[in-house]
Amino acid sequence: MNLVELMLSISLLTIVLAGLTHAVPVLQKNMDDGRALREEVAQVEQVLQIITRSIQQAGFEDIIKGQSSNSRSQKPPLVGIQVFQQATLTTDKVGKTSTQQSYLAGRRQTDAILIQHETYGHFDCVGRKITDKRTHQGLSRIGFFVQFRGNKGNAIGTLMCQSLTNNGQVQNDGILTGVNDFLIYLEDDVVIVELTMQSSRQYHKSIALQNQISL
Amino acid sequence: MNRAKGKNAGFILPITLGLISLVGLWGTILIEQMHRQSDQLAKSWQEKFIFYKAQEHLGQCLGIVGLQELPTQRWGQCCHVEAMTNPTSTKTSTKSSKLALQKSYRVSVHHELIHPISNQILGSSRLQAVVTLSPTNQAISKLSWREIFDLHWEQELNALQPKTNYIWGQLPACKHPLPTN
Repeated sequence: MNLVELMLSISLLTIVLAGLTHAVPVLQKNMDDGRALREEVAQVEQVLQIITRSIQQAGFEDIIKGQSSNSRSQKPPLVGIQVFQQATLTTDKVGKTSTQQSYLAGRRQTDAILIQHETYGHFDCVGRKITDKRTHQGLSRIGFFVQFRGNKGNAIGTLMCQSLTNNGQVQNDGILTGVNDFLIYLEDDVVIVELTMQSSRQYHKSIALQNQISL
Repeated sequence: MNRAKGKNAGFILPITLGLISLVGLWGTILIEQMHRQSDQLAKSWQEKFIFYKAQEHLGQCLGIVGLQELPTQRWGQCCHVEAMTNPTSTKTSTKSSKLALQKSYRVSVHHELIHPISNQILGSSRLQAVVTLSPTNQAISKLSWREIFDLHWEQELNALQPKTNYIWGQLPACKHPLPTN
């Protein structure tokens, strides 16, 4: 190998390395963007599935149990689904809501939904059994709302799922982060859920109600 | 010159091999991540697919309730309809006599999604609805629907209700091969 060959091979190696060092970050960015999108889609898909299954169980009445005991008549009327516009569910008391004052004037719009049903083999959003202890007046309550943390301008929204503990106290579990808007439209037998993520992507799902429920 | 030649070869070769290994490792990690995400999406799609199949079939099974005089138990293909016994009450109030006229049925369906070649179960869906028919026109007056996730818990709950039978061990599943396209 003479000097010319050595210089030529070094030049070629430099060109290849320069190309690689330029291409790798671009490729990495594209891959990262794609991965972020796939992750977001998978997470939102899973959460929408949780919301769908909860909404479809709304108003479930244990008819067989209700027939054998007349306890049903002593209970308050079962309101299957309650939607609270621009509100959040508080942790103070079961089913209590508060308006998100700090976000009313801003562009963020988040609704809250409260689902009630009797229990028979049901699970909450994170897969815990809903036993009779985890009910309030014989009804299990699953709520969804968005909780924002941080300054108004760059607050990060987390979709929370509310359920009851064994003592009947309210507990919240975060199930999706990076939520900007969470809108719920309740029509006769359809619930429409709209989620807007921080990436500005919107997800929309119409859920047909299964049980004959009072709204 | 020969020593210089050996030095160059000894320098360039490991660097090139190292670079190739790094790129290979990077690619493997990325492919692994992509596989995991696509598996997760596929699993979610499979669960939804079999759930909708079961839901559709439950609707069809509910359709036969009220149309004909059904026996106490009717075992269809992956669909089970049971007439529920009405409560016996010693009181002869108007409410209890009305209740005695009402007929209730429990309808259960079981569907499974299987791999077309290995027959491995990829997902399953068990749904159950209890319907009460109106005594006047046999139309559904009350419907309660639920999804069964945990069979052990279901067995425990079933034992607490003496009027109901545990049917999930006997009800065969309708098998759907995974669509390939």
